[in-house]
Amino acid sequence: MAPLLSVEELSKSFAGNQVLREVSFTVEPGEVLALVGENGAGKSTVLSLVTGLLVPDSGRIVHDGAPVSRAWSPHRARAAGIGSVHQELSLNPHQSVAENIFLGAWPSRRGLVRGRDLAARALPLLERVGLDIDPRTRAGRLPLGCRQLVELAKALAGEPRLLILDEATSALDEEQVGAVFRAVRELRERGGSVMFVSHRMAELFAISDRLTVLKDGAVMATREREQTDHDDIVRLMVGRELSDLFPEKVTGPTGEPLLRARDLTVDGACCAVDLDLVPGRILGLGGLQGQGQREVLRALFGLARHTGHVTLDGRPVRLPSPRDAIRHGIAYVPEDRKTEGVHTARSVRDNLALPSLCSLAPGRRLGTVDRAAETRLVGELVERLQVKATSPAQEARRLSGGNQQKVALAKWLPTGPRVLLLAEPTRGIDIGTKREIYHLLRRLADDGLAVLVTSGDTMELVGLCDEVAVLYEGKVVDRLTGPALTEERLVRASVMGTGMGTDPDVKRVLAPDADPKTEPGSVAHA
Amino acid sequence: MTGMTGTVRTEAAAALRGSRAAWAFGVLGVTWLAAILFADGFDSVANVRYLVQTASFLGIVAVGQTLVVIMSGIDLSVSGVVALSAVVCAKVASGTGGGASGIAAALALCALVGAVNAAGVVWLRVPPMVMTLATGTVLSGALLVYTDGSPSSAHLPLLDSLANGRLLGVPWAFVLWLAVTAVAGWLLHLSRTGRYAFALGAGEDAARASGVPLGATAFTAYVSCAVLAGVAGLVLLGFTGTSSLTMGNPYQLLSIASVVLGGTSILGGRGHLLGTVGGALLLTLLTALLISWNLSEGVRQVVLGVLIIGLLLVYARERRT
Repeated sequence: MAPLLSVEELSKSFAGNQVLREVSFTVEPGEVLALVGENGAGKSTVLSLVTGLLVPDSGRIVHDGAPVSRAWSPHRARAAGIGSVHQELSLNPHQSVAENIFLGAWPSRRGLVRGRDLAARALPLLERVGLDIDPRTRAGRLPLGCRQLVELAKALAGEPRLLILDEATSALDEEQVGAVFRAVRELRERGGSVMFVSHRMAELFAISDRLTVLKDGAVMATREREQTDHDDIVRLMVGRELSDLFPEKVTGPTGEPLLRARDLTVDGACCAVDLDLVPGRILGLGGLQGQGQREVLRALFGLARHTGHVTLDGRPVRLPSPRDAIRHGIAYVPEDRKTEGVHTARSVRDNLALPSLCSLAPGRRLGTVDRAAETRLVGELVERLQVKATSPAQEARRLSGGNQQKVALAKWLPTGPRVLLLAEPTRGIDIGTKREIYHLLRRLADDGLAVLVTSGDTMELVGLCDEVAVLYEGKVVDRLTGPALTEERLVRASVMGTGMGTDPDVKRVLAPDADPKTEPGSVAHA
Repeated sequence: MTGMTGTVRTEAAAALRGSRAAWAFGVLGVTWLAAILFADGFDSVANVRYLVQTASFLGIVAVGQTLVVIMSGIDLSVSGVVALSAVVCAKVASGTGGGASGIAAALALCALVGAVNAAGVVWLRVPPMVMTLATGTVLSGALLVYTDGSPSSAHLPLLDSLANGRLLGVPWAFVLWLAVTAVAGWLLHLSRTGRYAFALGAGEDAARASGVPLGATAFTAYVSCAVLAGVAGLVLLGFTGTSSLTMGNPYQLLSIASVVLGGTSILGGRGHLLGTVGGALLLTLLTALLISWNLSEGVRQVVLGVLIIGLLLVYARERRT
């Protein structure tokens, strides 16, 4: 059978910098092709060319047996049956879920859009992606993971023959990922094709039929899933073994806790959470997406109204605002790095210096910023964290996600923090940078910082943390440490909401051949 | 070595092309040249002197406006504040108080208005556009009540020489404008407060999560803006010798236009104070040109508005992200 999509020797340069070199691959009808590669390997560029956002310098794209026209555009791509879901959300937060799903193609009756019709037509699509929500909910009110699933429903509404999922699962917990996989398999059974991009290796192997590995803008290899394994793919990506991804954990007796939270409660998010942050240790907060992990961190940084007792060094502290938290030596690397972590429109230099301005521009200089000291500080941080920027004057939005995250973390180091809070520190970041961040966090802990990490990636929590507290509906349901800290125990506690669950099959949400009808949270569909 | 100087020069040229503030001065230079070539009287020293003197009134207001716009605010009460300052100073000075107490009272009231603006924006979380517009409306109403509709005139020697006098041939008003620009330039581009203002303008959430003192920064910007509008009002009072309830009106939109034509993003977070100086000079020059062509007031406003839009399209559009 002729391939549905065939990419032939595509090359693309930006300002003299070649990001794609004669990339070729095909997508057959009814197959899931995974596109694998580190950040900056060229995955996004390839997808932008396929969806018509960019025009190639040379090479061509053949869709459905015919080369695409010169006027290929996102609109035409959609019309030709190419649907896509990206990591960056494109929903209008003020419109309802149903309105978002049918955006641009609202069914109308004599020019009037009927909310009820819209909702009724949206329901089956929401079921297909495993969402049990009212289609009339405003999109902005949904948690991040649900919004991502609505994006998928929106893409499915166009009845695509080729569905592109670009990091579309990075904000999802495992149950939601399972829902996405069901939708993908369903599409595949109908003869549709899917191009899938993810940084989570387990997902790639769970869903794809073939994997095409990109490195530095060129195709390294395309492998059948049955004939490869994690290590093989990682070797192709980076030329490095997976085994040193996580640093060694510390052993020995635990010291006195530095920060102690008791009965920490945020309305509607978490309830009576007790946490002890110990210098030198990395504590993880696990659980399914949206069980209150994010709000615990925001409360400890003074960004969320909360009740409960927090003591630092045994003395009670109040944390009504981030400025108070910072004064007490608490630093926060937020989940949403582009709106809270860094100023994307400001330079790397300005971003790195911002939290240290009090020492860079002291009162005895009348608040004038010491440019020389600033340059020194920025230079040291860029060097220490290996931030890849053309110069400190480069705008943060031009950095890759991994380097933005390094900036969001690095900017706190000169302030001498004692407690470091990180939400999803490696979401959407390539494996090389992930490794650097893991090792950096361990070094910081070794220097005496108390670290608290939330993550939706089970492997990350198990590999990185000394102890993991599992949240379920805002309560801590289990604490895992030492030999008890395994992916299986962690997933079980997350899904069951108890510390001593007995169901051994909880991991099947990721298993490729699980029967969809028995999966937890699955919705019956014809 | 020559290659390196070459690269440095190309880079400097590229940076200059990318800088909207440089554009403002470029357009100013071209317009000025055109004015000298094609209009009468623009080549005389007296004319240049008069231009920079009148540009100073607008320029001082626009410098304050820049501080507010950089931190993604906007001050629509400046017309009211300009009038407030002149009217109060004239009334106090012509009444029982002397000139000094008139000036002090006027500036103190202006600072208070700025603080009210900031309080509304920071604590009550009213959008800056609504808050300052409301303050401005309250002000003009209050002034009407205060003066019974007939503002007083006053002759203050200090203000008179500030507005009309010269230092070594340079108008004092222009010197004052440059001094104000220098201080505000330090505040915005060299001091901690300025960094905070830029950070706030570039993204409030990230600024809060980085420990930027949002309240203090907003208060500094709004109070500075109102005080500078007050200073402009005082200089205007010295220039005309009389106060009026509408004397601030032209400066409302022209100050914002100066900021934007100077290359500062109206959304905040990007820009340079020097650009505003170029913007104010450019707008004053354009106005003078239109007057020299004997256009009627109405036609002049239409043409000026169209010119502002045209210039914005040329170099000061918001970029798509």
